[in-house]
Amino acid sequence: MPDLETRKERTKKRVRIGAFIAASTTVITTALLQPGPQWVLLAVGVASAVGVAASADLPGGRGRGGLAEAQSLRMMPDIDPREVRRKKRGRVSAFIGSCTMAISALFQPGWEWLPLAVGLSAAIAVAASADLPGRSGRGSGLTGRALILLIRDGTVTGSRGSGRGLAGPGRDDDDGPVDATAHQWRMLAAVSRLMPRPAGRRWLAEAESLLSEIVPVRRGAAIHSYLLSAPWLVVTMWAREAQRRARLGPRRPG
Amino acid sequence: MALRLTVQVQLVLQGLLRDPGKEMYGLELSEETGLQPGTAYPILLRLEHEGWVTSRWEDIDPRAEKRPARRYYRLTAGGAVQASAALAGARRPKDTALRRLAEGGGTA
Repeated sequence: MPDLETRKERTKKRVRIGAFIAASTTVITTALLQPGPQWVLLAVGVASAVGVAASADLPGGRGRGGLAEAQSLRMMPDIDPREVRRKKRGRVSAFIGSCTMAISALFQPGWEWLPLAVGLSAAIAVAASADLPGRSGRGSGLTGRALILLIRDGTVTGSRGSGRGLAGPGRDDDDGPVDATAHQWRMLAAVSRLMPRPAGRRWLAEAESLLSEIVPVRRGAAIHSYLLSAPWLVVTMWAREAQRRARLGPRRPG
Repeated sequence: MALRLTVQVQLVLQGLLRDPGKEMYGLELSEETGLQPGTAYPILLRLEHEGWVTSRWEDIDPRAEKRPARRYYRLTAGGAVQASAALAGARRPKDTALRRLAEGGGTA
């Protein structure tokens, strides 16, 4: 994965997380609470949990499900999905660990309560965000960072200014409209999840393919047209999926 | 369910029938017909479901080409015949209506 996110950027992100946790801890413990060992533990736990949960980008991630999503769309064939899953697992573990610290500090339980704290944290992680446990395939969040990079930079590798697509002739230098388009793109990705999985993937992949080649002035209208036709497509595709399943009949064990 | 020949469907069929053997991708077809891509897609899907059109993903390396693969559509042999017959029998929309639709991008 050479260009999507450089090592330097990852280091910067890690530094930002560290700074975020340190600053939050300082604020919580000194300004709001009476400092004591358990409160420091609580503050570190809460700050870490918030840091990890609030932005999946922070701990060396590349957006929620971005790479997996891009891969599923045949954009980045040589990226190892195991790597993406491993990082997601890391995020989940970090989140659970942080929450456990916070709960342990807050209630000061004995060892017998530790499984409860871990279980509760895991339940929060699963319930609060379906992104956290490493779902692969169509991506598990709205971000689709690699796709946003494509929208923003015009290449699948994220290197600005090379190749055709959105970085090609006519691309706006102003990032405003591109950001607006990126937001619309996230909506497309979200809508695709309402469709049956293969159909949604195909729809999104085709939209991506088309939007990467269309002239920038027409891109917004094109995305809008995709969004307009989406409700009807969702209904139709599920109807077809239901027909297909009815034709196949009930699944037999074994 | 029989295919309803709306003006948009007619435009797509006309675009595909211009060169029945040729494969066209979404953007090309959208430019040819003047329809918005989001409008053309459900129509193509319906045509494919009816067996009038086949489609395939372009076999390229997206990194080498610096763009995602395209999805190409082509009329099937039977589809071309049926499309021609359907268009011949269809109520021909007025040229002004078609022009207005093409200018506005159209909706499905």
